Amino acid sequence: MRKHLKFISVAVSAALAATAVAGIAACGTKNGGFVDEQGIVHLTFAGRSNDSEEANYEVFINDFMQDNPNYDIQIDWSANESAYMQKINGMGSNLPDLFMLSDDQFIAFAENGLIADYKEFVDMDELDEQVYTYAAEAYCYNTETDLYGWDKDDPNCGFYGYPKDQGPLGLMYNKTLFEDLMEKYNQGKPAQMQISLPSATEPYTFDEFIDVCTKLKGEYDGEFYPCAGYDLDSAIYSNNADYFTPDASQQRITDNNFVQAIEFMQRLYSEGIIAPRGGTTGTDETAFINGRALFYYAGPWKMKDYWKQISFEWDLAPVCVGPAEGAVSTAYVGSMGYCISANSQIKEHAAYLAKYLATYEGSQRSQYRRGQAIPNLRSMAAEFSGNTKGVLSNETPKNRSVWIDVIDGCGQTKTAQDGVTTYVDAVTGKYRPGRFTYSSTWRTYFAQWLDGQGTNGKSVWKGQISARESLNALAPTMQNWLDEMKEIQNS
Amino acid sequence: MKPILIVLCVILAVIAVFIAVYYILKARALREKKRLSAAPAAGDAAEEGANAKKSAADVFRKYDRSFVLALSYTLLALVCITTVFPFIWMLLTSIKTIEEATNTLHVVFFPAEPQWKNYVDVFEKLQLLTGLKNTMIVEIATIPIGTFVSALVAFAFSKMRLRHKTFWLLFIMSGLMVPYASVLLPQYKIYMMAGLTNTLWPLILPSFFGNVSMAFFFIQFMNGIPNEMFEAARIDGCGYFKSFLLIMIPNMWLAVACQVVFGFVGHWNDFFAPSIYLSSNSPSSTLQVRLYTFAQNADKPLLYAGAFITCIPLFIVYLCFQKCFVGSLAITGIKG
Amino acid sequence: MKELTNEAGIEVPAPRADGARGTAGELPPERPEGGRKKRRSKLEIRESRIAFGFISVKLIGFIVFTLIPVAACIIYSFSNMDPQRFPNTLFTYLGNEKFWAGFKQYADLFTHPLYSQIFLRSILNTVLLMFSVPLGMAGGLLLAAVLSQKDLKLKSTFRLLIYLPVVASAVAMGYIWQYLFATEYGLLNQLFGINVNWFSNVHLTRLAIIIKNTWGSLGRTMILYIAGCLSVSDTYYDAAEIDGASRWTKFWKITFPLVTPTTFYLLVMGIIGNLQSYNDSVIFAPGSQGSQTVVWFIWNYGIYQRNYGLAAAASVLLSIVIMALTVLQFKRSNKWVYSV
Repeated sequence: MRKHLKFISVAVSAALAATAVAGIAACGTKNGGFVDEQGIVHLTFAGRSNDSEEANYEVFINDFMQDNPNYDIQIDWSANESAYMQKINGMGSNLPDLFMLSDDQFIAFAENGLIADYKEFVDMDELDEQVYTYAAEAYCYNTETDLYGWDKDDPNCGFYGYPKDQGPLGLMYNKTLFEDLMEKYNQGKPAQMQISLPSATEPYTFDEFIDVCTKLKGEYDGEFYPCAGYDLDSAIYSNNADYFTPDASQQRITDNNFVQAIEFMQRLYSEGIIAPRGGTTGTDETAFINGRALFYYAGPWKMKDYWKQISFEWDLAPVCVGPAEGAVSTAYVGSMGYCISANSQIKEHAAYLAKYLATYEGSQRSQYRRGQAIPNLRSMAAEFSGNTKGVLSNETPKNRSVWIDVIDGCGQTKTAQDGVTTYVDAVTGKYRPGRFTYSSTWRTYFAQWLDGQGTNGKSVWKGQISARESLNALAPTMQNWLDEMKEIQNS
Repeated sequence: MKPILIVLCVILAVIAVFIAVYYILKARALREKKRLSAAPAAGDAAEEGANAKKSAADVFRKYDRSFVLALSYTLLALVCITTVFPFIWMLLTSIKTIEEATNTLHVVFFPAEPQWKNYVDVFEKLQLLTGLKNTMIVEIATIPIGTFVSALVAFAFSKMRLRHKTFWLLFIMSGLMVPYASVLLPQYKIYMMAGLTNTLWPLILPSFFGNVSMAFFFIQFMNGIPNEMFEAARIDGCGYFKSFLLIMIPNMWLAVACQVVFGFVGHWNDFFAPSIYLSSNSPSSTLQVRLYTFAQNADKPLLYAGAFITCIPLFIVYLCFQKCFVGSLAITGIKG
Repeated sequence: MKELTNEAGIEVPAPRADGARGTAGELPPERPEGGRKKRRSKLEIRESRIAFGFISVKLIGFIVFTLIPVAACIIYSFSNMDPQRFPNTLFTYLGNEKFWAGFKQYADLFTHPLYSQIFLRSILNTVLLMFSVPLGMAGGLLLAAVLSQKDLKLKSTFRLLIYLPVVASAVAMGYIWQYLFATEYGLLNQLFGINVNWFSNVHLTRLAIIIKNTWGSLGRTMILYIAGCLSVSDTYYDAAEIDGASRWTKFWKITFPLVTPTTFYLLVMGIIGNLQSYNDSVIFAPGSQGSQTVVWFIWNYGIYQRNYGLAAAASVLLSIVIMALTVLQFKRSNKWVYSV
């Protein structure tokens, strides 16, 4: 046994030694950039989008490298979000110098100290002038108070990312089919009862939307669901409601406005405007693309795909506004930003590259031309809506100004009365709710709860339970969740 | 053609094939009966009687046999077609254009003009060559060392005396019961801390230490090899390691070859582990991950061209090494 | 004392200087009958050591890549592990209060109103998808019985073709079947003239996956059953023939019971394999709720959402089930498995 003891101990210590050596040896690999002796800046940049954007970015980066020959940038691109986030998560703290994060992911990175606050390299006033205010402040976050937004007097308020682009939603409609059905309906009706095309500046109310859908549905022979899908967040925001208070500490899903918005969505299902869920027919984007629906929602990143896939004419309208007091038509806005790794040795250079990508006119124009985004810069709004430079590859949708209005309207218009802010636009935007909490997993659960996947098992959309009851049942869990995430944020 | 018509045609074709095969076999059986009854009987009358009865019974059974055989052939042909059809469909789809492949109005069986250039495009769009290179790196790194270590371990268990052998055997075999999902997270964390994610090391390292199921297979095999050879070698003064190298390996090469082939196919088809450690576009991703990355694209024919190319080497390996897959060697490891 | 070996390789003690014979010639002290031999020859000890040296490589691998991760996984399942909040090695957090969570993760798996639904549904999916195992086995047995008829021609061709899906890569197969089941342009929908979205309906997705997996497993089960059928000795069949048994009786009373070792093996391997199914969730039916299996759950909440605690709890439960199944199967096997 003694001899075996010796052998066992030798074997085990060899194992431990091997692991330790492997750990130490491999620890040296870093994803970070550095400046070498000739002054060339080696920088790593990671991003994700669909494949065509990758080609775009290569062009931008090449242009940048031509203008700044002392930069050598390596691009690491991922095709979809889950692969990208898996990669970023897997890097631990060896993150690339500059990489993209979506707005609902970056708060966790900021709280855990993985991304750097680089406000010393950023001129906020200049940025605020160049891009929409909401975009400029999109990645400003205060780790102490856990609040968003920029306050230049508070030293804890950090700037974590230049905005890549803003992706507002708009109500998309099949113009060809709409005109068709509209003509059929309008025959023989007096002028005030006739339907007209949706306007680019005046949103429908909830009731008007249901009315138009029901009337046009009647004109179609065969099974027809006028709306292929309606965005839940936009419905909620457009009724002057929110999931929680602005600092994400108290849930507000049992407020009347919120319940009213959910009830509106429920009516869409019960009155046959949206196809029943879990049915055997496709009830989503494919239905719209194949011309079997009138309405859907669209963000500017889908322009490119729709140009290829949609054969009829389509256009935009503002999201429907609810009947609650103080409600404006508010769409959900998604965004991504360029963040800098906290371990990066070359933060200033990374900030310079980020600023270029975010505010350089050439890249903005190239992006909207290819149908991937709307421009960040205020100066380009008119150019984009009216296609004044004629660079858009395809003029659809004509009402591109709807998207701009959503972004433009979510800035903070400071009036003369000592900083009281008011929204003056009829169409505004609000960031997706996942952005305000440490983790955005609750978003999927919320949708699934309403769908009957929660423990109460009753689907609001199928009419098995009323909206109010369902939300009341969820409220304690929602509050628990918010408390848990607050605790993590505060620790 | 209306789809119902197609289905009816298929059913009719099957029945027609069945009837045709049945009649062919029955005709053959009739000829056989004629031949048997025409041949002169030899030997004892009783024997003759018995023989005649037996052959008559055989032939009688042959009538039934034709039916059963025809049925069997039809069934097997059906199953084979069902099995092979997706591959043929994959090949056909890969040479269609995008519009033909995703046509919602009617099915396009044969493309108007075959897009063979898809097979060329696939190499640059999917970067299959990089994927191929990485897969081969993983294969070449894992298989030789892993097989050698497993064989060594099996040799120790099978041919050598070891204190507490059953304990150690059970100890190691308990690793088979642990699913990959439960070691996944801590291993991932370790690799993350070591900075080895996005490299090929997480796929290669575990195989350096041998493979338990392979070792078990080898143990079975080695148990079938007689011990006398080793004792003779020991008498001649050969060390254990040398006897392993010089005697065991030459006798085992068949089993080793089979395990190498299995290992090759296993690593080639492995998707779970590479998809976790290697991000989609990284220069280290393997073939299957490349396919997965490209699947988001709407260009279906290109994807299937890539998928087909991924399958071809395996088909070649399968054809060459059929013995390994379908012989009794595959199951029990016992020769013959 | 120096070891000496004579020509036969047997150790003899060296002669002592004073010519005495030492202990040679004396019997060793009495040992109890059947006890372990205490006096192992030096040769045996050496052999044992070398053998241990041979297996030590595997032992190291086992400890480092299996034992330690399993222990770490169990620790994770009782904690709030998140690789971003706790990025250093495990040891440093063992004293940290915020790290430990007691049984919270296990409780969450079954009672959290939101996680538990997904987890329970993933369990349901995994269990339902295992229906392809008996279907594949039945099909394989049928095919093997058909193929083992003596006067069948073209046997090797049939075998070759039917085994083909087993060799092809699961990813490629997943994509081609996804194309076949596609809503708008899939062959199945178009051939039958229906417009069924296989992937939006939970039950249809499960059905589709069962169909696909049965198709894929026919080859493997068939091959093993052929080997099993061949090993059944002909004398049984001849005896049954004399007694006037029909084909059906022969099959049920002779073939089926005698291939139970193969059946048992396939059942165990099939269940364990399907418990760990992941490909379908990601390749064949991504995003569909009917295809989310337990391993998908572990991947989604572990690697993707960085919630290691929850995923580790799920993986510990999965491991327990798999281990229990394996042990149970082997223990009960002698009741209904015919052993030669």
